[in-house]
Amino acid sequence: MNEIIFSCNDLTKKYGKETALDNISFELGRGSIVGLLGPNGSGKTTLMKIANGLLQPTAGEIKIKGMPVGIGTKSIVSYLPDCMSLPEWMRIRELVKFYGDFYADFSARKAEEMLKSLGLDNETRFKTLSKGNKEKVQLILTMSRNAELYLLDEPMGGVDPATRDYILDTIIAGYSENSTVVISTHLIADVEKILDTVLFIDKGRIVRSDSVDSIRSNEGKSVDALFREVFRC
Amino acid sequence: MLGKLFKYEFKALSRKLIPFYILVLLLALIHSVFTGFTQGSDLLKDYTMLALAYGVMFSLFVISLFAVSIFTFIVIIQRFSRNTLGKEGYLMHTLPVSAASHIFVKIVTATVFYIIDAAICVIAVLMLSAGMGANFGRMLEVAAEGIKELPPGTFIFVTNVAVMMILATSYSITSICTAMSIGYTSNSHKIASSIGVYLLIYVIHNMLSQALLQIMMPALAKHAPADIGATAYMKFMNLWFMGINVFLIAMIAVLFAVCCYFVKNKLNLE
Amino acid sequence: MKWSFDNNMPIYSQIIEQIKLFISSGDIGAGERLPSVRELATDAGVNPNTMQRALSELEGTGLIFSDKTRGRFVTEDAELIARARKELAQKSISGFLNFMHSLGCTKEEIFSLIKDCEGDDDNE
Repeated sequence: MNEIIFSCNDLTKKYGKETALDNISFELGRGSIVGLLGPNGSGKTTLMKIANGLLQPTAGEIKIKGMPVGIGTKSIVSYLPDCMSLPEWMRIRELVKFYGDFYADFSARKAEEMLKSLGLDNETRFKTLSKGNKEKVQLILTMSRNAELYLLDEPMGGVDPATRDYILDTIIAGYSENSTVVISTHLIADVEKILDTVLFIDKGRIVRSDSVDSIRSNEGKSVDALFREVFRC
Repeated sequence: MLGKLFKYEFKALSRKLIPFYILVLLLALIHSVFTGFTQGSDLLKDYTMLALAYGVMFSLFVISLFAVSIFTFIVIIQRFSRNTLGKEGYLMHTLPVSAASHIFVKIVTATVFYIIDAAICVIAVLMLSAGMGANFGRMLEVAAEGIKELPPGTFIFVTNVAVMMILATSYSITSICTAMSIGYTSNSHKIASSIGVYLLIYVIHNMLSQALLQIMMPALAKHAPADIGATAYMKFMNLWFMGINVFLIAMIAVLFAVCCYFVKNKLNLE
Repeated sequence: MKWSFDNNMPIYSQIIEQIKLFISSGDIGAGERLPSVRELATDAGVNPNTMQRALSELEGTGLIFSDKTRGRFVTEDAELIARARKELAQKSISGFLNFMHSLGCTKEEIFSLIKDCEGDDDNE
């Protein structure tokens, strides 16, 4: 029996008249890599923000490992936002120290190994890195935590294909049967090989929830092809 | 966790402010040496270039004293807007730490830096006086004599004033932080809204102070010192100032709670 | 190892086919120890769960076996490997024949075309 690590119940988020999330409910078990797929503005980022306590829902709730979102969940959730959130003035070794200071499950050794394999010097200031390297550093720090839930919001946005491969490899390497990874993206072709399950989200609603294997066996097409069908403009 | 937050807050602010403070002290040093050098001699009268340089130095020095306070203000606001309400908020608010801890650390650290800022200005002025030939030894002697003459309760009075200045500083910072945390919930006019809310807080604060004063007046009149002795006067002033301090603490607490509420529930990053 | 996947079909069955290919062609030798699930998954760029499922099914065929302490190994049974190799070849040939029939080629045409290709190969 797979323990439920993430559950979303009747979750709604409204901004005035606009509905970003419309009564969403779903559950995720441990040990899977889940794709949260949808076009821009479908509610993926809103969902992730609520799961991380950066937004409060209008109605409904998210529970992580049975706990409501709060300090308890923040210590077991590792979040990669879709924008640059690290202090630009810090050096790489200071960033590693920062993560180590606040997260008990952070492995500085793991982070340092990965950073070294990228050829990055510990004394480099974050602001002097190229965009691709900044994305990699943020991802490395996020995946060097031994978290129970990883929430990655557009981890591959705006980077070259080689960097995308590196990011996918890092995610696979960080995977464990004990933890779950949720990747929100619209770059599906790259990512679908590593996904177990996909959730299609559109205009704040989950329109499809399936395992990748059953989509391919039953529909005879890739998730990317199905996505294009479902979300045809 | 609180200690770690303090560590990073100090680091972030000091890397911008400490160099500036050192610069100010350096300017003061240069100026006081210059002054000491030219004191009592005719060098300034004889050499116009020297006089000009002296004038420029002095102006720079005075400007730097003002600039450092403004700079401290700007750095503190910038830090709060970027780290708590801006992009870095994605990192900070996902740390396993409460919003109240974040804000508390910001306010305390900012207050400390304001105190350092004030101290730097005082030291700079003292250095200047030294350059002008002030005799600190003699001044301390005179002061020691004078202190013996002061009425009892003066020490408490001085403490009250010092606490009041610190609380007033914290109050300013807290009201700015609260104004920003409310103003930044707006999508398009963050800065204008923040200024608007700040003015609102200012007006409310004034109204409350006035109202309290009206209420307290009759009571104060009753307890006003019958004789106009220095001791009774000091006692009265102490009570008065302690009241003000309590009021300030209450205002800070209320604003702090409001700020925490907005940061926790109405956060509007990016 | 050179992995290639068609996103329109389930990955795990493609992994099984490709590992059979690697074993048949000798890319992975008989009796050789396989890398860990995680290493294979990273190398192939696939979900470790999927890799695990593929390996479990392969164990069912006997082409690989797992030794609790020392990991997974390719079988030493040369006959089993030869059979798998033959199966893969037959599958490819039947696919080829289907295509040639859809072109309308007769058996004789097919053989003569193959001979021509081989002749070209020799000349190269």
